[in-house]
Amino acid sequence: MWIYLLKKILQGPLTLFVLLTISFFMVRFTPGGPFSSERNLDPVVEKALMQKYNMDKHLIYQYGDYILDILSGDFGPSFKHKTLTVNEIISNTLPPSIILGLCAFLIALLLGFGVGIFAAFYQHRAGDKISMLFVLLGLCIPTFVIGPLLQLCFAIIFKVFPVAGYEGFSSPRYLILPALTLAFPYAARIARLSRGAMLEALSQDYVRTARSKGLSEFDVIVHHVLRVAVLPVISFTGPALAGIVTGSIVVEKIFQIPGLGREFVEGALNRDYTLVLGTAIVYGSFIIICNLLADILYAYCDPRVRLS
Amino acid sequence: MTIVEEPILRIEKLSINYGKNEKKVHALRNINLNIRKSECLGIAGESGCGKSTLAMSIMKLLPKTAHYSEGHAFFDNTDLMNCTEKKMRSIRLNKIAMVFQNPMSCLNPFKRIGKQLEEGFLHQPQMSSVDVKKEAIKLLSQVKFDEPNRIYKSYPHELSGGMCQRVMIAMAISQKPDLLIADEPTTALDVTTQKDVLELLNELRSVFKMSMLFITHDLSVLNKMCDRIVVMYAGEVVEIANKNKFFKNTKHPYSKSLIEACPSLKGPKESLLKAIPGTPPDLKSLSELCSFLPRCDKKIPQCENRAIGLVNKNNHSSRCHLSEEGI
Amino acid sequence: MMRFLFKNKFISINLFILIAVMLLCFFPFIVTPNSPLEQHPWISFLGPGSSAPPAYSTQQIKVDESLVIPYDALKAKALEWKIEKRKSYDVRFVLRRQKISQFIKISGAEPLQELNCEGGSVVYEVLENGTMSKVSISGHLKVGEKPPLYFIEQKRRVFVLRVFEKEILKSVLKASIENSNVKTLKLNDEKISSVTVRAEDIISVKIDGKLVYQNYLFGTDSLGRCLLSRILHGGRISLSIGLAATLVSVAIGVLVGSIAGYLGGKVDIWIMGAIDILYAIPFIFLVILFMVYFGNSIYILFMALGCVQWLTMARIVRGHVMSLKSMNYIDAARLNGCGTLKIIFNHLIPNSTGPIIIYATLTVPAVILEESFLSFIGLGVQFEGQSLDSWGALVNQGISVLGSNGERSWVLIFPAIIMGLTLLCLNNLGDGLRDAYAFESKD
Repeated sequence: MWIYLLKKILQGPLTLFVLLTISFFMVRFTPGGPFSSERNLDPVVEKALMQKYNMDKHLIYQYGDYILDILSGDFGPSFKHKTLTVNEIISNTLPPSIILGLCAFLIALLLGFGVGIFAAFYQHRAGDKISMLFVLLGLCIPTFVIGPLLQLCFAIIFKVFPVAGYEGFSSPRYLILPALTLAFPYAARIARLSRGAMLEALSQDYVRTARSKGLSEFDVIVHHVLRVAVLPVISFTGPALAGIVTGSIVVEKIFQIPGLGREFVEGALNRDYTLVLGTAIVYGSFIIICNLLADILYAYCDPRVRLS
Repeated sequence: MTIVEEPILRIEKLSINYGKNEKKVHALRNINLNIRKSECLGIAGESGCGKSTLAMSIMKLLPKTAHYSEGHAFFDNTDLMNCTEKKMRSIRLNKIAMVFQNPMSCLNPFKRIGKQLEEGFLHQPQMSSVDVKKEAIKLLSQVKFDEPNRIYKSYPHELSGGMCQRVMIAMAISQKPDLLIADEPTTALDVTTQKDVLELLNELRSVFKMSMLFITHDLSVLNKMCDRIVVMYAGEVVEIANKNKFFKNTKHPYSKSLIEACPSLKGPKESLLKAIPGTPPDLKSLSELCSFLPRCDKKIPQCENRAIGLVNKNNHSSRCHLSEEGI
Repeated sequence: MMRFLFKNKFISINLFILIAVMLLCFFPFIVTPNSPLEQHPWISFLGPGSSAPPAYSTQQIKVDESLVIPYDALKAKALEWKIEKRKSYDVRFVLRRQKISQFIKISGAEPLQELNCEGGSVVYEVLENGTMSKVSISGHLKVGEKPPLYFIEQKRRVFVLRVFEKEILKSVLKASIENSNVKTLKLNDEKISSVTVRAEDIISVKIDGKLVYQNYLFGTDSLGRCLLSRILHGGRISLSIGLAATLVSVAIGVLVGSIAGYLGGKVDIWIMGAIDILYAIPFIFLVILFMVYFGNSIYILFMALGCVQWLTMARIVRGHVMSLKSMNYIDAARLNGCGTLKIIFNHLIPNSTGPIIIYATLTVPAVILEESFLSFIGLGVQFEGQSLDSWGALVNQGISVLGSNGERSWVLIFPAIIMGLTLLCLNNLGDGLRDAYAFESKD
């Protein structure tokens, strides 16, 4: 197990490093970018940039500086927000995004796993077919269609939840619709995975043995099947979190949540390079850490990995 | 061993179908069997004849597509075919236990052996976990493990096939059942391990005074283990007899062909193995006539015309017109 | 594999729907003759199933000049328009100290003392950008008196009102055409030489005596463009992007995967390591970074999308090639003197077409979804400068015009349904192919 984990732990920072390098070279060598000859920037910003990036020094030196800056947490000044640094923008907008993301993740896990188990239990009957319909919808309807539909349905017609806005962690009402929108496609994928895993587990010989020992169906599922059904879900948490992070960009726009995704998009539209870079690095690190945690959890849960 | 006459399991007219309407597969047809107390009843037959289906149907462990269309299985004053699932669960393991064919796949690879053994004690909440662990280790030593503590802590993939099967046997006897069903327990094991497992089963049977339903396609194993032998073909019982009577005076042509098909270690070297020509019939079509007819080399004119049932003469039954005629 | 597919009714239905959608998208004239680019602001937000007389915005029709009409009038001999115009005049008034100080009829600079808004006349306020907003006024507007609350709340001082009177001026315009040139022109049976017709005023058009309509099966959008035709033309873009990006990802993925799978060893470890690292980076960042730095052209878009999707394809192909590597015919080919490249291109890749087709079918909907995602954020593509929009952009527009009570919902629902249906069919097809392949390879 330890060799497996060591490989995964080493991969994380390496991935981040590759991301940083790609970003660095993209900024340097873009036509029309901030480091080409034609620049029409605010003199204040330009001065700050020149200072930061030591543009008269050698490329390798610039690269080294850049890496050191990033590692010490300094992302530099924002191109478009003249008085703010990227750090400030990120620290202001990160908390809502994290809260939203975690809520969505929990909803996706619980809803998806629940529906998957339910569908496997009622296989070939009505419950299974309804659940699979739900899964199909989640896979094919994009997030930015589900969001407005939910808004229309629950916030406007039924007036159960507020339409948009964000009031912090103390007001969970504002979080429910966005988190649900964000979670829906991943809940569908998790439902599909867990249903498949459960069906496969239920057809195994050792489940037949458990039944022959007089265990109730409930005991069979809890003691023998769940542990196996949960494994593909754990290995999916990595991609799920990555997807939630990217989906949050859309959801924050629809529900007017002042999160990091909105800044990222505006930065991309306004060609605010440092902001886009900084955001990409923050998101990337978050995803890499979560992937690592998922891998560790998987290694612990699967005895075949644990004992190898 | 003295065999008491009254049966602990009485199967009457048991029929099982899979599927519906035209696609119905008749897996078992009109089975009538008794198993007496402390007796070992062997069931022989080729693949697909319904032996495993019979075993699973007694335990009510068939898949949901199976229909218990008619028949009864009386055990301990209950008709297993007509009782609630709750009652069935209380019977499983406590009164009737089962050992399966592929021991490696029958154990949960993610759980330790000890924990899987202890599952059998779930219905005895009054026992403390310490007592349960002691019982489990005792069971492991009863199935001839030298280091029961080590086995208790192991995972299934750390054991060999024979060891897994012994663990399965330990699980099966943990609640001291009245009837043990063994569905081809040694088919997946090599010959030397097979011998150990069979001897263990015999020993346990005499210690616990259990009845046993032993399913196999290997006639030599039947000879070693069983008191009475049942031969099945195409979902029906074709012959039932005492072991000695069976081998000395085989009545049904299929049983005779089965015995002849075994290569013998003694006698002159044969150039060809004696196989039974043809293939087993399609279980979708029901026929009143003898199902072995197309492959039989001893047929008489009545076989083509008249329906046949199980003919019993001196406790030796056979589904054959020949025995009816006294041939 | 194909036989299994067609036996399964569900998959056959999916394939049928998919082919129908693709056919319609590339040949939209089958269902609608309308153009997706033509704007008709006067019939904006028509509901589904409605129809309107064909018209251009403001036409001047002159004798002895050719006539342009929204569809084939070359063979027509006689054209007839029924025009209904409501008499209207504009009025301007100025507020001083919350009382009307001045009231002028704009045409003719006629000062008024009061405005009578009863008797069925409809009043609109003309805003600065030329649009009009309906104002409900009952009673009079009198000089020296306080105007209704609405005007005071606006906090402006100058207002222009357009009053439409009850009286509707109906007129019939007839034209006779020869070789698509106007020969004679008659307005209410009076011969005239030229007339200017506003499209909003046209009630019906008759060609050669027959009433003619333009049908809008899915209604119209904010600029009066036929939604069905926009969806179909947009589908062309979305599907093309999907196919192009998939081709890019297949090309890169198959090459990299087969090399890694066949050569094995160090090459394999390095390539798989690189793939694992790239896998961990969420695609959207790579694509957005690409688009931000390299511009918005459609070619960059599907290069970017393809460059992100090849990872999965490479993994699949590598796995498959590794299982093929041990086959006897590979050894035979090697013994025959085939070099590595030849083995890869002549043996391994042709024998991997199964998994390649399966995952290509599953990549297309993923790409379409990603592209619609980008359109939603605003990083979508303008196809060669025209206002043809892909499905993602159409859905985006639909969301922006969605009323707070579900008004104008069809502008969102129809593109979303068509896109969802196509994605569904593609996903199901890919899954079905995957099952069919697994089924076959088990034998």
